[in-house]
Amino acid sequence: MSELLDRDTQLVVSRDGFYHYEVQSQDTLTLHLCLEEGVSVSGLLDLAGAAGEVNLQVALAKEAQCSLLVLNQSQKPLTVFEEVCLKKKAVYEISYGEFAAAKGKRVSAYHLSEEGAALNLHTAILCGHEADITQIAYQNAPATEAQLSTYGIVVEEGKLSAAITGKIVKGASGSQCQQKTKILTLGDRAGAKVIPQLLIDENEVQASHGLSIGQLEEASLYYLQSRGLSESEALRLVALGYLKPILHSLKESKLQAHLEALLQKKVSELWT
Amino acid sequence: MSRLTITDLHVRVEDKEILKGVSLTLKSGEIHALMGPNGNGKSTLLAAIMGHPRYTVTQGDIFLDDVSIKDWSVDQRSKAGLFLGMQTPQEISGVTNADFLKAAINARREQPIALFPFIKAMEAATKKLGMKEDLAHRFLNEGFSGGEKKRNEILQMVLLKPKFALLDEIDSGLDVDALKVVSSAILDVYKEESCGLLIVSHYGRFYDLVTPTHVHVLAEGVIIAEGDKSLADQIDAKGYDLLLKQHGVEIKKEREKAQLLGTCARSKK
Ligand SMILES: Nc1ncnc2c1ncn2[C@@H]1O[C@H](COP(=O)(O)OP(=O)(O)OP(=O)(O)O)[C@@H](O)[C@H]1O
Ligand SMILES: [Mg+2]
Repeated sequence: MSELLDRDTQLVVSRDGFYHYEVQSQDTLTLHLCLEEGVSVSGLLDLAGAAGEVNLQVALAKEAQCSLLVLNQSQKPLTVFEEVCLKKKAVYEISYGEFAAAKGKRVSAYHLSEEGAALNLHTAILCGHEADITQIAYQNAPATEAQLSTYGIVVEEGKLSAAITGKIVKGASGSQCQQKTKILTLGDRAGAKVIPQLLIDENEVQASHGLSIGQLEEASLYYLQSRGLSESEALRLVALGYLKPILHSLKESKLQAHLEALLQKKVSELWT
Repeated sequence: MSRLTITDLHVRVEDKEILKGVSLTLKSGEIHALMGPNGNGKSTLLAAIMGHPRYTVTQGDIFLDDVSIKDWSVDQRSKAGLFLGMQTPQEISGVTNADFLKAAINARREQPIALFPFIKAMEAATKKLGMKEDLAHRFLNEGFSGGEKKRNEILQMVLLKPKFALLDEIDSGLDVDALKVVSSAILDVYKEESCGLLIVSHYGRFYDLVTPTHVHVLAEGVIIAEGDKSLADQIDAKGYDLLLKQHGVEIKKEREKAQLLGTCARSKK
């Protein structure tokens, strides 16, 4: 069962568990989420009924763990601000399924402020409108880990711009930052612009980024069709191939199944 | 009994006429070898039969059982029973072999195939082609070796059971043992489905394993010679020069003309 969120809310969580919230707001809504020391939760945040501005303020105390799936199927323009603060050995796993039916913007900032904090951020976006995504991980302490993966399909009039930044300050030795971005644009009108950045001021770190923005080659489509797949079937298969990696980021099997069904549905709606 | 008929086929690629009137009839149970020097239009013919969008038929027609398929889409041709094993199979990232093959099998069925029979069929075909078990979960041809790609083409043929299989240099890149494995898989489908095969290969060794009933030689966009297996043997032993001399007076003139102009009308390996 899900709970409705239709006003500013402050949640202080001291027990492990699974939480499911549906945001219902046309204006501005702020959610404060605080996880106490050692608490481990997972959850689903559904933004289908959200418009305007949603503010997520998240704080994880020492050794707290949060595993969250945010689904954005907003029908109206929506801006999401997310600000997360991670204390010692806190682990924040966040997966965004971005399927908005209107233009949108998200700014996510993650502060890994104490030793051993870890961020695992995955975004799968099916973009048919204007989408502007900024994701920054500030690694301010030693032995922090940040993984930022973005998989996207841009279709129709979609314009995706994404700035993905990992910043490791001096003294944050033994930290790691991995960025992976894979975008496919389909059609002449779709476009994508990605700026990946690694700002590193410390020698003893491991950092990498991989970026690919591509179009579907005619030869690939031909190959799939030569085995009997119609153009729509071929496009569905290729699109799912781009988006599916996000499923691996989810530990909760019911969330996995839920997101997989949603991906199938979204892709089938686009290419019937 | 099915019949694939190509009549007076002219094909153009990017303003260049590659095929200049090719006629050929392939019936169920027949094995046709298509030979010819490099760059003379063999792959072009196969691609045109399959309906590749880059290859425009400007004259002539292609019939499957007396129905023109010239204007059919690529997937329609596939579903009607044509299969093209490609010279350079495409790599497609993100799409697993299993998902792809399931979709391809389902494309020619009313009811989607159930999971268990699919896994069994996939496993049997993987074993038959001597491929590694993780094949199902790997992305389509991505990172495959040259030989693995060719085996994967035949694995698809095994699972899709075509009426007519067009195989474009499927033997190149295969080691001696793999060549035997692939040939016997091709022959199994041939026997089980009594399909027709149109095989492009440069090597007699392959034609010794999959013995053609008919041999055609394509040069400069036309068929210059036809015969039985002995023609393939002759080419294997002596090359194309004699044939080109015997049959290709006009072709040769054209080539000389082209060379006078400082261009090379055909490319040699
Ligand atoms: N897409 C294309 N664009 C431009 N030229 C092409 C294209 N496809 C084929 N050609 C040209 O058409 C001619 C015939 O090519 P084709 O691939 O059919 O030869 P082939 O007989 O299969 O040769 P090989 O034995 O080397 O495989 C060549 O000169 C080739 O460069
Ligand atoms: Mg060729």
